[in-house]
Amino acid sequence: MNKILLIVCAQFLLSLQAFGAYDDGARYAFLASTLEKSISIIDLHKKKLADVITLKHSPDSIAASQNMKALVIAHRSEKRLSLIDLSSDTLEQHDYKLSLSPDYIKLSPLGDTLAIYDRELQVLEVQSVRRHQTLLRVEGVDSREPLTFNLDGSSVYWVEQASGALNTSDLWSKSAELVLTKKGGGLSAMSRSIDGLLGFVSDSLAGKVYVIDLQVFKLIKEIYVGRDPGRPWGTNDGSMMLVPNGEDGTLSAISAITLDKLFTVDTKINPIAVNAGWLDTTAAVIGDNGGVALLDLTSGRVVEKLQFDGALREGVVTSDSRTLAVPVAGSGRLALIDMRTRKLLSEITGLPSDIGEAALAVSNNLCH
Amino acid sequence: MSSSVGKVSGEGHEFQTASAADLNVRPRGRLLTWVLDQQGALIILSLLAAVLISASWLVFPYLVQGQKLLIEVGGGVKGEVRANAITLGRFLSRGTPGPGEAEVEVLFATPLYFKKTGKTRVVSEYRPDLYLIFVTTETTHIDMLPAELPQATLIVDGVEYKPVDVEGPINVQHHRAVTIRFDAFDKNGKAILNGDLQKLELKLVSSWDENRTPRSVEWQLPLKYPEKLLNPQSWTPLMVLGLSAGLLSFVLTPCLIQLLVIYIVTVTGLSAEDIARKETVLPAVAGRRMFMVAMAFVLGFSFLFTATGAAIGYAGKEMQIFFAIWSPKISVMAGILVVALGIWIGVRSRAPLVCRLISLPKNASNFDSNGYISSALMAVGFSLGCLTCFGGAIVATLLVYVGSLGSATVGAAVMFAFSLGIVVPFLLAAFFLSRVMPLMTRLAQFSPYIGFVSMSVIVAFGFVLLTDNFHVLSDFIYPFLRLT
Repeated sequence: MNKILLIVCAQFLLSLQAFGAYDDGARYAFLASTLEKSISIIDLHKKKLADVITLKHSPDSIAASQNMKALVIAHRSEKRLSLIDLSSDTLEQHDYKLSLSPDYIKLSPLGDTLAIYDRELQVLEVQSVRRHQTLLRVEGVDSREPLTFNLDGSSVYWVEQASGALNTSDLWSKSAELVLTKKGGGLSAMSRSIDGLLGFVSDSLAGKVYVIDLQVFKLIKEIYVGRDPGRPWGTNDGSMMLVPNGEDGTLSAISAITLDKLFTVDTKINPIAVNAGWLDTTAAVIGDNGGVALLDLTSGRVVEKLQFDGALREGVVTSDSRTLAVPVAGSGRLALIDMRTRKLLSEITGLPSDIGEAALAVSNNLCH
Repeated sequence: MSSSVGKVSGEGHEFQTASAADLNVRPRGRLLTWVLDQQGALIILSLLAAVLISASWLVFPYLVQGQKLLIEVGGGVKGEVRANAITLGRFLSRGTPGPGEAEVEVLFATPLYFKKTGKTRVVSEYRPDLYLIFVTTETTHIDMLPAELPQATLIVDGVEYKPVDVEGPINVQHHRAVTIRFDAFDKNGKAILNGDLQKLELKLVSSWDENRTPRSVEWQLPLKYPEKLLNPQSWTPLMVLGLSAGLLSFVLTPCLIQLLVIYIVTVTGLSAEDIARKETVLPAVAGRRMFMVAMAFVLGFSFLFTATGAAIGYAGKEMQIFFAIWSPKISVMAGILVVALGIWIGVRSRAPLVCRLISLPKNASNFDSNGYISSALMAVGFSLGCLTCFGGAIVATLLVYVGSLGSATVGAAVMFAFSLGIVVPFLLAAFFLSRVMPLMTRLAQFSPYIGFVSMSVIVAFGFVLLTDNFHVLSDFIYPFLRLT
């Protein structure tokens, strides 16, 4: 009897040990520094720098996977990928050589497959993170914009400026092309609706957003917004797509259900990103000049403006939709904004000055 | 063969446990004799079987692709909303012919338009209850649009009205949407549109041509909306079932496992207490009571889930905000209730240690002598805690996949059907336990210990709720299910 008890206790302790230090995908955010060849781990619960991982190569882009409990790091010039096991106490690093340069990487929503794009070779690969096995390879992909997965990671979408088309290929190499415009060059990356049924692509030259039914891969509507619209950002409840209009400095809200334009609001900010939070009642428009405009989405008004000393990077909203973390490069800070009160909550300082965009495995950013 | 009458003493009480003879169980053959001799193993096996039966709803996530189901049902609902919005938009829109290259279209955005097109978010901004709202869309293909907003005049049966405000971008190239609002009431507070036969005309002036030729559009009032828009396809039972199955298999598995644990320990704990309290155990009665205790439990949580479904269907987004704000407080209240009920079960089943520390007043033991109220309260208390864990998730899922339910009845139906998915296996498990109970002749001997274990588990879960750590336990359980 005692032996059985001992075995049960040992099993229990072993199972506890499997919970590593930084594998809580909703709690730990990761920031890469190319100059210092490091990854800063931010504890969003305690609002402090938790740890720093030193790397052999410069991290060009990072992605966090909750499913794999791993951090994926792309090293462009070395043509390598590093995986950090976040479930291990020692944060074990494994890296492997690629046949292409990972100019852009994108994890699928489930976090088990990774799309890698090489701009020079014009090759797109989708790999299984766990097995390092190539699941899909597409050649002749000419895209300057990020890639988008569908909900289950079985299809990947990209735009090709030369042909003005949205392209897709699934893991069984079944491809399709949908020409959106004859005047290419202004297409943004596609953002999908939260339910995965619709795709939204902005056309900065035509000042409109194309809506694509992803089930049949057909264009169903064109919605005029402002001038120079950028990539649409979805609210987490699936009700709206928010389109930043660069030249106007405005933000247009589109109903993702009826596909009508709801309102356009002047933010006076040249936006690089839009994040919705606090149960999609607040949107933060992050500008390239260090400004953040906070909008009340229920009334379509700008209610608060914050100004930071430095260049802002794309932020990330915590999974409870309460806090927006925005990296401030130049001054090496991470600004935490309360999306409910629409005020600056706190700042985490002492980070490398060249920090990139924040990666959080479980976040409120779901449409890309 | 052992068929003696056992005596168990505890805290001044002496009661008898039933023998095989009392139970009208006539051992026939060696197998049954052997089974009756292995009481400890029988109890454990029976409990294990009950757990497996009551957890049989867990096959749902493996058999039903919840997300796909939700997308299919939600996609259908959203498609209908979209089609209605387009039809309604066309019905309320008028083109304005006139000189100049620009195409100008005007939409009369009535309160019904805001309601049917899901624009509830902008209602507070535009206030269609106070204003008559028109949206003009200007489009040019060759020229630039004039750098001015159109000047508008509303004419109702020959009486002219000026706009309260005109909103839109001035410097645009080929496309512009402008919102124009007029007071819906005149100076005397009388509604401009009174429901009688009226002609509504909107006159617009801008430099679309050199002569600034006015363009005008008309609507004949009262508006006769297409029948299909007023009575859209209603929800079907299949849709409701689809959403329920989707929720059960996609959203709520981890939280419900905890409900399962509480269910088992509550039913066994209260039944043990029931056995211990009776001077003579009549197994048929005890079995029936056990089933009734289980019934009270499932009624408790079904009622709560259904009521919450009604609130979600009615309030949607506001309920999500309510859950986000009040979850910690509700969780604490639920935790206190669950801890108190756990101790209550421990005391009443004369659990070791507890009955020495806490002695009940004489009349207290008469309260809820069958344990039905305790069971129902336990279900409500713990389900309240569950709701703080997944209430927000339910709303969020329905918002994402359906947009909104827009009906308290549909919301209640979805959550009732969802509850049924759990209720049926739970009751089957209780039925099984009530049938095997006559075989567990020595159960009464262990009833204080069963009570103690039940109390410990319930109190532990109560503290999990009290400390707002429900999700931590779920996070621990979920990976073991190998579900994504």
